[in-house]
Amino acid sequence: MKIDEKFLNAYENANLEVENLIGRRPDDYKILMFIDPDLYKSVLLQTEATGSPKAVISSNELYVLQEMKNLDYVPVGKDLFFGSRSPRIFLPANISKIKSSKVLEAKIFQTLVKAVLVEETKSSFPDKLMDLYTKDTVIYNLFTNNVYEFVLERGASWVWQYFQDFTATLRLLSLYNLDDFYVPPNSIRSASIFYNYLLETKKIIKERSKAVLNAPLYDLILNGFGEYALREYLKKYDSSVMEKIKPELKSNLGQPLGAIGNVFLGEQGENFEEIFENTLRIKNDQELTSIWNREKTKSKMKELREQLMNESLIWHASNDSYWSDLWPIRGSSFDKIDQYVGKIQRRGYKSFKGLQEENALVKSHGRVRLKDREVAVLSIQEDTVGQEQLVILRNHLEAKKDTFSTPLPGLPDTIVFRKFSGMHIASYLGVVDDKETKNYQKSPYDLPMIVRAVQVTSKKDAYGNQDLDEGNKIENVNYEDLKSLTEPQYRAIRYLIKQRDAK
Amino acid sequence: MNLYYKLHTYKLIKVSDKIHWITRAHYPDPLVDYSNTDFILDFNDAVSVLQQWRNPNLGRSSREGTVISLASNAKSAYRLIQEQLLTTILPEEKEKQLIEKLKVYRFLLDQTLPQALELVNLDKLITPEDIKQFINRQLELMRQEYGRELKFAENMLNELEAISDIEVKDDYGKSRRISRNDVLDVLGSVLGNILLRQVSLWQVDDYISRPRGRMNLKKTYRAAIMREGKVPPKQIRNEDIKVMDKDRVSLIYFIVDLSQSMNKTVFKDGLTRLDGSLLTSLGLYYYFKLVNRRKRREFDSFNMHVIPVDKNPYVIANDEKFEAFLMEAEGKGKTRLVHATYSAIRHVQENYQNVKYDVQLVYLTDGRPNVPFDGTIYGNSMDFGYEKYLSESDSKIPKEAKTCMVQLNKTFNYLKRVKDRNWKISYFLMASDKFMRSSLYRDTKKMLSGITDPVLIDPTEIDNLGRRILQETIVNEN
Repeated sequence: MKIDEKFLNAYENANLEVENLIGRRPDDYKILMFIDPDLYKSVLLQTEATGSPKAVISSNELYVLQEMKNLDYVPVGKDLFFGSRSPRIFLPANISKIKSSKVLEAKIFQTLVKAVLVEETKSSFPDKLMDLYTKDTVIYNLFTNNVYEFVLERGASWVWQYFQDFTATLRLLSLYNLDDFYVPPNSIRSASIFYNYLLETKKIIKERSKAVLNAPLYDLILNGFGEYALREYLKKYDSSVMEKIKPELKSNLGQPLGAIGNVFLGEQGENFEEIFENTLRIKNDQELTSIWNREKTKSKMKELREQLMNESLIWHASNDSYWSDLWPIRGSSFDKIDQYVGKIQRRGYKSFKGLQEENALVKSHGRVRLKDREVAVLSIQEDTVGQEQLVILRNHLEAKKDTFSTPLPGLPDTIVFRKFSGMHIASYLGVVDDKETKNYQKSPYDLPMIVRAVQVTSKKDAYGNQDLDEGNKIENVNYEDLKSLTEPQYRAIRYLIKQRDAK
Repeated sequence: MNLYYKLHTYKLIKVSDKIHWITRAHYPDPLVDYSNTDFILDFNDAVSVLQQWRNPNLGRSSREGTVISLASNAKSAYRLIQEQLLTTILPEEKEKQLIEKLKVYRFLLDQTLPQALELVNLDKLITPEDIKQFINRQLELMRQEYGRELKFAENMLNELEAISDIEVKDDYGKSRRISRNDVLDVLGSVLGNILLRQVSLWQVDDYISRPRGRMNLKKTYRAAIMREGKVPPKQIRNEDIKVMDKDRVSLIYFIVDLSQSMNKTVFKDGLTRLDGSLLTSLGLYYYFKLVNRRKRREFDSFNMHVIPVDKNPYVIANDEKFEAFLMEAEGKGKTRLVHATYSAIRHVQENYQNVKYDVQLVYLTDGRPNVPFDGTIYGNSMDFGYEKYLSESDSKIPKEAKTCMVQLNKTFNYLKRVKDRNWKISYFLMASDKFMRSSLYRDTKKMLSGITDPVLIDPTEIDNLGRRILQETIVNEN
């Protein structure tokens, strides 16, 4: 591949600039130049969604992201920087098409400067991220090899999707510590490739979850430093040059994470060197933000918000008539980070674990016990796993056939609550016990399913005349185990339980 | 030059350990669908889709699923558009577009989709008309909310039309939203084709010698060569000329029994006779539609009509009404098969007077007509053979049914004789194989003797039949 001279020059200059500013170049890093910009888009979306470029994605999320790509909603302006040890810098090869070499240089400079930070920081963040990356790579390889073997052995086309969904679901539930109910005993390992894969993956995913939960909160520091260093670097240009290149650095400057981090970092010393050396010592965002009390932080944030409002006009083309629509988007994005700062200042969260415990995106609300079965009630405010994916946790694979045999101890039927803005959905997913079809499944997906979804609402007549829908009389329903649910949620559960037997 | 080269090489060596050029071979696309197998919509899926359309309870879950998947997409789109606006340099036009779209997505998530879900829960959003009305209402609300029409809103809201589609999942976990047309195509091409092969309404792919229509040159030359035994042939005679197929218009009348007795469940999977006959008419109807489409003529070769065997049989002559009929048809009342026959005959006489059309009457029934026709029955006094047969046999069928069958027999014989049009009859009986042993079957067969053979249809078995035909075709080709 012919290396673009323009990119090469910019790259070399950026390296020199880093060296001038910090006194050293980053050493152990990788730049991945994606020749196909479309592939870059995929990697960007996938990494944003899962937090790691190698994580296996569920088919549910895959469809959504593919659709987003088709609709051309990918924020390609974003620079993808994976701040592990040996940081990975992802770039689309068409980046060298940027007209101004100054802009190109500035962009590369920012990623390189971040690379130096993660190479040398005392924080364990890059290690944890590296851990995450390694685990995901191992899982990915396990996944592909096993699927390959499986397909080779059984010639079953559903295996890809099945393993993929399984892995993604396991990852999500493991993160929220809900994964202990569906893993078979170790003795079953030798029974089939599938069990072996399941147990192996489960073990690695558990370690991965640990790494994620223990990873220090570091986004403010990393992005703040990127912003700080870039602003420092840009000082060499006079205002006429700045006027030209600043609009081109839309994703590199003025982003809420960077801007807020930058404000805190500015307090770390008198000059760049001092600030850099001190930043290396900061282990997490909590440490960074603890320099001010809430009151001072609030006033600083207010000030910064106003400053950004004036500054960010240049990053938009339709800044006249649409500014009243654009600023609230920036504003709300800023407010989110502001809230995050408030949270870590008040509660002293140092790692992702604290944040997650306060506001778990996946929660179990217990089980409804019926005479012949149980229904697990969960709320999932997460896009990774759809209701569809939960089916694979269902104890549905008792059947044995030549193409597969995977009798998992699993979840019972599930009711899942999800929120999408104005929507609050309760959905039911169950497997109908159909003795006739049980022995003739073509794949784990070949199941008589019942899927329902209703809007959770306090309206009394929301689900129509319930008497009409009632099929078999439901007896002995025990709702006592359920916890932390609202009255409309209870009503939705009761309705869905009845619906299961409605004919 | 030399210096440049050196410099270049130096840089190349220096950066090569840091910069890695990534192709798809190095880095598999994470968004590639691993389970990249085609969706297989088979006949059973099509049947289940039809059932779901006809039964709101069965389709509800699919409609709810659509609303949720629309919400899920809208949520992701909302988030990504925001990010794109904040991070990506966009031309003014694109930026404006995205802002508009963002507003629509916001409204969708806050207002439209929650309402849609509530309505779907209450079975109030089922037909395309319901949905159209809902969309218009939402557009109006959106206009009120923003004080103007939002661009793209209509297009984006039209996605809600998918609510009337049905989601089916094949046995391998692949799901797909199926639009009505997809299903009808499957039914038409699979079911219709098989049915026609079974009964030979006419030989579909045969070449008919006739000096009219579009000529098939190859076949015509071949015929002339065969006749003369010489290459090239000296002359082409009238008898050598081969045309692709008929180019005349055929009128097809589906006479669909909607009587009470059709409600009986006779097939496995809970399919009723009515389901069976609707499926069969659907299959045939769309088969002919497909043929019309393939021929790319200026006119359709087959004009189709459906006559529900109702209290007052009427003629349905367009697709929309036909589909509405399929969705709403229910079995009730008595079987006025003779009445329906005369409605068809009248319709032909009144609407297609001048041209000598082929007319095909296709009956889809359980074979139990029970309301005699009190108008004039065509035919002459010579047609008493069947009457005599019935009076002499020990058949246990009720008197009214006997009268009806005699009337039908007379009419069919008459139609067979008249030369003004080329009348053809096909008679489908919705029943399983057992029915063949019944006396009703014998009587029906007798009624149709010299006219056509009754065809037993068990829709649940048609899939197997289709598979067999397919396999045989493949084997023969090899």
